Amino acid sequence: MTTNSKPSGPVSATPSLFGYALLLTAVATLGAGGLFGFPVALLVLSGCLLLLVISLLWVSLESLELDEPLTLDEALILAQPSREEERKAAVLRALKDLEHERSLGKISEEDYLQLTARHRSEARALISSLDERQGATREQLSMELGGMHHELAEKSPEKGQESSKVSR
Amino acid sequence: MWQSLPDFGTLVLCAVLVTAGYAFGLAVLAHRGRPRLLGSARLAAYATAGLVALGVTLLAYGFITHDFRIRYVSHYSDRSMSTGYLIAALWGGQDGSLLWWSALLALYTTTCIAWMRGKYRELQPIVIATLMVIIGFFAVLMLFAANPFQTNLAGPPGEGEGLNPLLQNYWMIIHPPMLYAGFVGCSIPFAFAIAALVTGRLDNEWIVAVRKWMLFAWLGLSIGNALGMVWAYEELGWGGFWAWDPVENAAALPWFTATAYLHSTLVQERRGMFRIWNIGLVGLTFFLTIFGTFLTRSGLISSVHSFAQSGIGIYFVWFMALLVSAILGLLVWRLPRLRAPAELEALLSRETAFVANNWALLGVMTFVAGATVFPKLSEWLWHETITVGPPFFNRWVAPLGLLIFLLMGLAPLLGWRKTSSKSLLHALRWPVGGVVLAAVLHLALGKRLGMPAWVPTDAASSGVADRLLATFGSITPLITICLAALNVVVVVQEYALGLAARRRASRQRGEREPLLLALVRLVSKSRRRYGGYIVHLGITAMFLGFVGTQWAKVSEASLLPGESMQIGSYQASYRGVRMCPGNPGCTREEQSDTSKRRVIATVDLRHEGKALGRVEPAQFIYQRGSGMTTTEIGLMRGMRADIYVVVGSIQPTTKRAQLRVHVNPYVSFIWLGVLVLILGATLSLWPETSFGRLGAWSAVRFSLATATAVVLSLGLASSATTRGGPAKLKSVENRRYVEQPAPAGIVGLAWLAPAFGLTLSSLRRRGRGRGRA
Repeated sequence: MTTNSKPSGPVSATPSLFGYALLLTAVATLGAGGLFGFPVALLVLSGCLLLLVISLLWVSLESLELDEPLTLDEALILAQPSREEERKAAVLRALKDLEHERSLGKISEEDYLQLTARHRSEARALISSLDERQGATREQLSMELGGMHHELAEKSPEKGQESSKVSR
Repeated sequence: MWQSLPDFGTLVLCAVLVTAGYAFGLAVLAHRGRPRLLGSARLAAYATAGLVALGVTLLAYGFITHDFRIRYVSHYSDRSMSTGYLIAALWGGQDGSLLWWSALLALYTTTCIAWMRGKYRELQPIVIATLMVIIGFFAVLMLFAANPFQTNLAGPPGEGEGLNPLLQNYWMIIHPPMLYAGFVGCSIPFAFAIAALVTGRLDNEWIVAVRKWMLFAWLGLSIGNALGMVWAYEELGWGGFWAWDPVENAAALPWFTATAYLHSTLVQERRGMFRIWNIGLVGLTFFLTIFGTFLTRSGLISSVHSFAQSGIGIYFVWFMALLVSAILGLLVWRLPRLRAPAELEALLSRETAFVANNWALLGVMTFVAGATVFPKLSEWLWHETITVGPPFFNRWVAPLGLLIFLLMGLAPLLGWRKTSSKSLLHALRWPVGGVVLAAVLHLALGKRLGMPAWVPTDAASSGVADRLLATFGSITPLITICLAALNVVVVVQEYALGLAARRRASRQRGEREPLLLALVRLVSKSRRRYGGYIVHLGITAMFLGFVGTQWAKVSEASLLPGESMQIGSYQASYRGVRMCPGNPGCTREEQSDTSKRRVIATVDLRHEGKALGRVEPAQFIYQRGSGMTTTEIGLMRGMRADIYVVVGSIQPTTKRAQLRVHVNPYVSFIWLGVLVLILGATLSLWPETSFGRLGAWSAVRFSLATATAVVLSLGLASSATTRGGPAKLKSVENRRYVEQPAPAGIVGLAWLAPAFGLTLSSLRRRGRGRGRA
C-alpha cells in the first residue's frame, strides 16, 4: 500500500478529456446544424460519437495492463464499517431525531427522557467499545510509522524530514 | 456489413452487446480482487453508452432522411410528417422504443458512473456490472427479436405508412419519454441493491446513495402517468382520463412500490429496520417495470395502446426469471446479515404508520396487477376469458386508495419510535376540527354547489361484498372531502409547528428571525420532509380531482344548427359545421393541410345564461392508409368544471350533428395537483449545498442548471393545465394539436439532460472542494 493521494495513468486523466470531447461534440453538432441543417448535424454527431467510443475503448484496453497498488485513500474507501460503527451512527441519529420530535411537541416529556436515557447509555457503550478496538490499531500504526521514520532517517536525513511531515 | 446505414446500425447494436459484455467482465474482475480494473470498466461502460447513443442518432438520421430501406422507418413515418413527429416516431413503435429505452438507460448509466467517481468504490463494480446486464438484455432483444434497423425484404417502398394519427399528438410526444425516464430510472436503485447484496455492504450506504435516484425515477413515473392521463382525456374522446387499461395499469404498478419504498427507506435510515423489505421493494419496482414492458409488448393482454403481438415475450420471461432468481437467491444468501438490529417499539409511531402505508400500497398494486392479468389467468385456469372492467377496478380501488389517503394524513402527526396517546390527541385537535368543518359544510352546501356528499351507487350484485362496496361508493365524496381537509390541515400544522420551534430556538439564542426567513431556513434544513409534505398537498388536490368524477354529468343529443341542449346548469348551442379544406370559413392552416379532411362543428357554451365561449369539436378523416377517423374533442377548461364536447356523426345534407357533452367537475385539480407534486418532489431533490461552499463559476453553473431544470419541469407539467386555454373564445384555436409546433417539447426535454448533468458536475466539484477542506 502506498500513500499517494492521487491515482495516476491514462484512466485518471480520461474524465476531464472526456468532458472536453463531449463539449467539442456538442459545438461541432450545433455548428454543423446551423450551417448545413439537421441531417448533417446528426451525421456529425454520429461521427463524433464513434470517435469518442473508439477512444474510450482504446484507453480502457490500454489501462488493462496497469496494476498499481491502491492508494491509502482508495483503500480506506473500500474498508467496510463495522456493525458497531453502523449502530453508533443510528443511535446518534436517534438522539437527534428525539430532540427534533420534542421541539415539535410530538413526544411526551416522560417518553423523551426515557428514550434519551436509553439511547445515551447505548451510545456511550458503543463509543467506548469502538475506542478500545481502535486504540490498539492506532498504537500499532504509530509504531509502524515510527519504525518507517527511523529507517528513512538512517538512510538520508532529508528524506527523514519529509517522512516526518507525512506521518504528522 | 457496414456499407449501408441499416447494416451499420445493426453492427452498432452488435457492438453494444460486445462492449457491454466487456464492461461486465471488467467490473466483475474489479470486484474479484483487481480493483484497478474499475477504471477500465468505467470507460468501457461509457463506450457502451456512447454506442447506444450512436444507434439512436443513426435511426433518427434514417427518419429525417426518409430512409425507407429501414422497415421501422417506413412503417412509422412518411414524407409529410414534420421533424418533431419524425423524431417522436423513434419511440412510436416496438423496435424503436426498445432502442429508445436503451438510450435512456445509457444516459442514466453515464450520469450514475460519472456521479460515482471516487465514491462507493466497493459497490461500483457490481453497479456497473448490473447495468451492463440490463443494457445487454436490450441489445439481445433488438438483435434477435426487434431490430430497428431491419430492412424491408421487398425493397424500399416509395412512401412510408406514417405514424398512427392517435400518436400524432403533443402529449404522445412527451408522455413516453417521461414514462420511460421513470421506468428506466428504477434500474439505478436496483443496481445498487444488487451491489449491496453481492458485496455484503448492507448498511445505510446504498440506501443513501439511491435516495435521490429513486425520487427522480418516481417523479418521472408520476409525470409520465399524468401526461398519459392528459393524452387519454384529450385524445381518446370518451370523457375520462383513466380507464384501467392494461397499459395504464402496467405504468402505474411500479409507481405504487416506488412510493412505498420512498417511505420505508426513511425507517431504515433512522432505525436500521426493514432491510429485507427495502431491498425487496427496490427489486419489485424494477421487476414491475420489466413486467409492465412485457405486458405491453408481448401482446399477452389486449389494450387500446399496446404494441402489436410479437415474439419478444419469451425473452422478457427469461429475463424476469433471471431477476427473480437473482434477487431471491441473494436475499437468502445474505439473510443472516439482513436481520434488523431494532424492532418496532410502539404501535403509535411513525414506523407503524409507514408499515401500514406500505401494506396498503402493496395491496393496491397486487390488486391492480391481479385484475389486469385476470383475463389471461382465467383463460389458462378455466379455459374461459373473464374480463374485468373499469367499474370493478373503481369499486375496489376506492376504499384502498382512501385508506392510503387517511394514512397519508395521520403519519406526519406521529413521532418516530413512540407517540403517547396524549400527544396524538393534542396533535389531532386542529385536523379533527378541519374534518368536522369540512363535513358540515359539505353536507350543508354540497348539493347546492353540485357536489353532493352522497351519490347513490348501484351494487354490482346482491352479494354482501358488492352491497358493502356500493354503500361505501355512495359516501366516497364525503369521505374524500373530509380526508382532504385532514391532509391540508396536517400539512399546514406541520409547517406551523416547525416554524414555531425554529423561532423559539432563535429567540433563546437572542436572535430575531422574520417569519419568511424562518420558513426558508426551515424548508432548506429539512428539504425531504417539507418537500414531502408539499407532495402530500399535490396528491390531496389529485384526490379532489378524482372524486369529481362522482359528480360528472353527461348528455347526448342530435341537433340541427341553431338548436341547444341542457346539461345541468350548462347549455350547449350547436351553430353549424364546416369541412376543411375547401370551406371559406377555414383557417389558413386548415386550408393548407391536405393530409386529412376535417369536419368541424361549432358549439357555443353558456353557464346559467352567461356566455362562456366557443368550442370546435371535430372529426379528422385521414387520407393515407385505411382512411382512419379520429375524434377531436372541444374542451373548455375551468377550475370548477371542464366542458368536454364530442361530435359523432354529422349529416352532410341537413348538417344534423350527434353531440355528446360531458361536464367534468374539478378535473383541473388533478393537473394542478401534479404541478404541486412536481414542486414538492423538486424541493426534496434539491441538492443540499450552500453557495458559500461553491466557487463563483460553480455557483453560477449550479444556479443556472437547477433553475433551468425546475423551470422546464414545471413548464412541461403546467402545459397540461394551460394548453386547453382559458374559457375564452380563443381556446378554440388551442385545440389544434396536429398543427402545434411539436419540437418544443423535445427541445425542452433535450435541455433537461445537460441541466441535470451540469447540476451533478457542480455537486461533484463541491464534493471535491469539501474533500480538500
